Amino acid sequence: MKIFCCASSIVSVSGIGVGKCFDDIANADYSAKKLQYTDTAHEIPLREIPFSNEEIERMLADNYNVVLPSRVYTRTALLSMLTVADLLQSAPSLSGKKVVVVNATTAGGMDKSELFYRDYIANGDADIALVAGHEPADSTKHVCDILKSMGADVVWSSTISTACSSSAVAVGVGMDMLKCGDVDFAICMGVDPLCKFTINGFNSLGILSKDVCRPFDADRDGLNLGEGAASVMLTADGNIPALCEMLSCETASDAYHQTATSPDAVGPTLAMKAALKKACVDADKISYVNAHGTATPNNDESESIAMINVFGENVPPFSSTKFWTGHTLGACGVLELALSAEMLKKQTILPTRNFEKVERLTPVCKMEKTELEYIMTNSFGFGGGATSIIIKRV
Amino acid sequence: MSCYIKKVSTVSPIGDLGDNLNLNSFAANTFNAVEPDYKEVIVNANLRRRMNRMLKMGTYAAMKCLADTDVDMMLTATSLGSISDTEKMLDTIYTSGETLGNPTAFIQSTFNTLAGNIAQLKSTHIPNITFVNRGDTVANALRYAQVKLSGDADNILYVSSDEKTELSESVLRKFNLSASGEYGEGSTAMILSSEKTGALAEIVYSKCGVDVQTALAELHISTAEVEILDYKRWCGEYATASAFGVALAARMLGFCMFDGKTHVAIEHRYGHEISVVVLRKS
Repeated sequence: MKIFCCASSIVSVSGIGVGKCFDDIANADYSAKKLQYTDTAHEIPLREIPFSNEEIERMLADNYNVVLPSRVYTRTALLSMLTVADLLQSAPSLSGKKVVVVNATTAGGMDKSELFYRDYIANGDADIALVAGHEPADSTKHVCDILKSMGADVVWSSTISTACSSSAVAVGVGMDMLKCGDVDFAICMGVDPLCKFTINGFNSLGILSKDVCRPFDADRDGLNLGEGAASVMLTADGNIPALCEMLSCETASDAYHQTATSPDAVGPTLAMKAALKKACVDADKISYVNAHGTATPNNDESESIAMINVFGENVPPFSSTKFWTGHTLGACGVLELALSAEMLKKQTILPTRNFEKVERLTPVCKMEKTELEYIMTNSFGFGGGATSIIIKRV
Repeated sequence: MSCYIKKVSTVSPIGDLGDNLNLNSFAANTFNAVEPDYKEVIVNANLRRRMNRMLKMGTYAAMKCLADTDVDMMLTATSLGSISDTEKMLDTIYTSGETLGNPTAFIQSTFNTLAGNIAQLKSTHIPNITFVNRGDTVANALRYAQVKLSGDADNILYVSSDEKTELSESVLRKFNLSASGEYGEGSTAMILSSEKTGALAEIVYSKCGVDVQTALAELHISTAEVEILDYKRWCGEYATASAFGVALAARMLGFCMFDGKTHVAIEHRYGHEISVVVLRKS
């Protein structure tokens, strides 16, 4: 059974739209902006989505006809509804269709839960409404409600959380559920907000850069966190105009350390090789690799080793778009899949910026118009999960 | 889609169902899990010290199941994850005004830490997927296992774990999630297989958004053939409690404890969520 991606959406530091995000990465250098919506004492570059929660609720009502009952919504839930509302604008009608939803997040509704906790330790009590959306399942439920209101028959829905590979794994799960048959569409998505918990958590690991991040640069010193919400619609119906063909999505475990990747990059290497095997594509056919490329010393080194393990001396052109979007955690797998599909459509490789000094491999640093047929996009996460997706031009 | 339960292990208020079916041993009134001697499977003392209860319970059950079995993939499941470490991390953030961090608590609060732990202990590179979908988590993961066992995998480890803390229990109480008012915790691991030999039971149905009557109608089974298992009297209420119910049902079916009934139904009502898993004697 062939599977195709027939629609995509990105909500990121660039605002709403795959095209906007693509154009910004192609043309712009990121410079740190003053935080508008995120409350933190840390002065570090963070990629905020440029809307407040109130603005998102208004946009959902005014632009997408999604009128929400009055209650507390986590930023995670609002962003997940926004990306799906955006997705549906360019997607086939779901009315009467059997749909599977696979969502992914690392933080869940922590943006509101941490406020509950702040009040609880200060006063011994707090507003319970702040934790109603705590669990990852909450945003999935809101997305399903929107789809049902449009007449979709949501036959299965779930939420995946495997740290930074979460939404890439969600894509694989969606593909598996489509292959069961009797499912018309799979919506695979990921979302993560900025919140104190995540910012302080990553800070405590010493892997945040105080400057704009420099993927693969020899002097890189850490990642920048970003907010993101992204979604794709997959189908086995070859008659629907497609953005790309989904050839494979494979996962492997590094089994080395809770946060660091093994020196030989075992997990990433296995995932990439498995993806090539499942796709029946030789390594030398890969036109471009969209790297996980977080700009931490460990990730980019191990990822380079993994690419050498898989491609030998002929590592394809590769880049990391996280210099612009930041590391969007649960969203990055699908966000970067959407960007990769757009690269296939435009036959253009997006650059990595802020790269000056080579350590092991040199990424593509300028936008490059070139023939692209097969793209591999990788996501590697805490807990050692490595996921590799291969897509093909249609 | 064949999905057979070959083996189970639990950390629960009535101990490890894989070792003993001590249905009469239950005496507690708090539904706290009876914790085993973790040294048995988590040999490294430093690791044991660092791990929170959710991780220890899940790792224990998983390692018991994996003792003499290889699997092709791992499905982990949780609702609140390591909620104790989540609380620790939040505590550090707010009491220090963001000047201090707690890296161990942060890492262990990541929902898929259990999967990472098990992979490291077993030195296995098999794929693992972590489901975190509140009351629907277990039914989701078991349905996915059915799908993967029909071609991509022969044997799958399923493991779920949820712990409770004083705060988390008080929050769940305010949301009135338990019909009985009794909140529990625990871990359940199972070896799921596409192969029937030596199986305790077969999972024939796993679906969300349906009650038992609807499930049985879809399966064309009359209620007379089915035991609707009251498992929460032993494990209490928590989002992944239905996994305990499935493990219990599998063991009881293995011992032919259901008076000629051919199927067991595990219904899980959690807040607004409802799911049903149906087992058949293998």
